Amino acid sequence: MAGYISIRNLSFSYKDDQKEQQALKNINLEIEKGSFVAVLGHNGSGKSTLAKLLSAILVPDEGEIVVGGLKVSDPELSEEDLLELHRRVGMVFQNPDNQLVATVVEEDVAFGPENLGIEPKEIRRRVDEALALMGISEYARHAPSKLSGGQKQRVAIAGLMAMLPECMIFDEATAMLDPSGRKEVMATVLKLNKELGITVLHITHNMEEAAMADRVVVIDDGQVLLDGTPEQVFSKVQTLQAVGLDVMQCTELLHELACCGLPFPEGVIDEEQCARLIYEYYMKTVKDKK
Amino acid sequence: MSEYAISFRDVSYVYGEGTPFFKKALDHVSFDIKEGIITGIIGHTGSGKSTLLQMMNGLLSPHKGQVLVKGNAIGSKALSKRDAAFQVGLVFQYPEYQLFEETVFKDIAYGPKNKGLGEDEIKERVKEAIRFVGLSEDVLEKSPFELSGGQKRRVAIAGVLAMRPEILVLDEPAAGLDPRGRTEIFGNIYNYQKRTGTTVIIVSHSMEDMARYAEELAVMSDGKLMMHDTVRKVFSQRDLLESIGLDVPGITPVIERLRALGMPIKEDIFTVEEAREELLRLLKGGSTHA
Repeated sequence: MAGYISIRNLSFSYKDDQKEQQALKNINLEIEKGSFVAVLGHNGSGKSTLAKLLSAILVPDEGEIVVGGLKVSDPELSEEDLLELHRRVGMVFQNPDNQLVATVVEEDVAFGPENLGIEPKEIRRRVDEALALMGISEYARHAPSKLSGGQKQRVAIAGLMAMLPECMIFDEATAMLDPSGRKEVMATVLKLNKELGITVLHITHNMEEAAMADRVVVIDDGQVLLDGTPEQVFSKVQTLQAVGLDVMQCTELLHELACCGLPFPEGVIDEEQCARLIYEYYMKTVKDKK
Repeated sequence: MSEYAISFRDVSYVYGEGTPFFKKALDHVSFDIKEGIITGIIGHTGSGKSTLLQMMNGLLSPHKGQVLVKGNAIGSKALSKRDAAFQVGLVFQYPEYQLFEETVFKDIAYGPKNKGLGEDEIKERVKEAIRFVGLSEDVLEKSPFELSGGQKRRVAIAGVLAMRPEILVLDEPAAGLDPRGRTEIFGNIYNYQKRTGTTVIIVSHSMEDMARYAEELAVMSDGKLMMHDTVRKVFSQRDLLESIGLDVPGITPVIERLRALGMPIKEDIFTVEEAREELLRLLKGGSTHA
C-alpha cells in the first residue's frame, strides 16, 4: 500500500550556467499516514532539498512525488492543486524571524485561513483553537517580535494548524533555539503527531530529537543511507560518525564500552536503560569476583 | 596590569526605559573573566548574554557600573572605545551574513587594512588566519558567496582572528552546524587558544560542547549572574540549571542514576571520555584505552 507521502526514483540537481550539482540521487521512500519520521543528514546532504521538493518549491529532474493523492512532482501542477498542497502540508523553517508576517500574533495565525477565503467566523474559531493548542493564547495580542524563539516557532506552527493540515514538515525548526525553546517545540511536535494524528517529517541534526521519532531516515550524499527505528539506526555508530553525524551520549558510551570488549548492546537511546544495563553488569561482575 | 582579561563592576543595562517594553537586560552584574583560558557563558534566550558580550568591546556602554579590559575601564583615558574594539575581537552569531567583499582575501583583510597595517603584514595575517580556521589558501581568491555555509562561517571568524585580538569573544560559533561542523569549529578555536594563549569567551547552548572545551562557566538568568565557577562545579548544580531553562550534558543523568543505584562512581563526570575511563576502571579493573 502506498503511504501518505510516496517518493519514487527521485533525483534532483541544482544547475547554473557553469555547473550542475546533484543534490538527490534516486530516492525511494514511503511515509505512512500518521507517522513521525525524522530525517537526519549533515549540512549539504540533501535533506532540505527533499523538503523543498515535497512542497513543490522545486520540481524534480526525475521520479515522482505523491503527497496525499496529489502529484506534487508534476511541473504542470495546477494553481488549485498547489494551494491545496500548501493547505494540507505545512512547513516550518529554521529562522523564526523569517516566517511571521503580521504585527500581532493572532493576525499572523489568521493569515493562512484568510488566504484560503474562509469566512471570518470560522477563522476566529480556528485561530483561537490553534493558539490554545500551542499554549500561546495569552500572547494573542502581542507583537511577535517581543516573543522568544520557541514562542515564535509556536506562532508559526499555530498559523499552519489554522489551515487544518494533514502533514507538517519541520526543516531544522529547532536549530536556532535554546534548550528550553527546543523542548517547547518538540513537545508541540509530539502533541500534533500523537494526539491529532498529523503526519510529521522532522528534518534535523539533533540526535535527541531524532530519537523521539518512530522512524529515522539518514540521508548522505543525496541518497538514503540508513532507514529504520531509532534503535536500529543509532546502533550504527561508526556509519553515522563516518558521515559527520553523531549519536546521543548514552548510545556513544555503551558503544565505546562494547568496543573495549564489554557485553553491551548497540543502539540504546534511553538514559535510564543505559544506566540499568551498566548497573546490572556491574552487580554481576562484582558478585562473580566474590 | 591585571590578571583578569575582562571585569564587570556592578554593571546594569536597561532596554526601552520609560516605555512599556522596559526590560532589565543586566542587573548589577559583577565578575572577573580570567586571562588565557576558555570561559563559557550559558543562559536561556533573553538572559542577557548578548548584552554582556556587546559590552566587552565597547559596542554597548553600561548604564551603571564599569567594564574593564585588562584593568582599564572602557571609555576612560587609558582605554578608548576604539582601542577596546581592537583589543577585543567579537564574532557575532551567524557572522557569515556579514561577509561582503569580492574575495575571501579582501574580506579577511578588511579589519587589518582599517587598522592601517602595511600590505605585507596584512598578507601574512590573512594567511595565518585562514590556517587557524582550517581552510586552505586556495579559497582566498574565491568569492565568499561560492563557499558552503560552514566555510563562510570560518572565513568570518578568520576576519576577526586577522586582527590578532588579545581577547576573542564568540556568540554561538557553531549555531546551525551539523555535528562534524560543530566539532571542527570548536576544535579550531580550542587549538587556536592553546597555541596563542589568547583569552577566549564563548556563548553556547550546547552543554556537551561547554563540558568539552571550556574551563570556567558563567551562568546568566534574567539579567543576573547566577554562577561563575569551574565547569565541574557548575554542572554539579543540575537542579539550579534546569530551573533556569538550561541543561547538563547528556551523559550526566546516566552517571547520576548509577550513583543513585549505589555504584561507587565519581560524581564529576561530564564527557563521554571521562565516563568511559571511569566505567572501564570499575567494570574491568583497569583502563584498556586503545
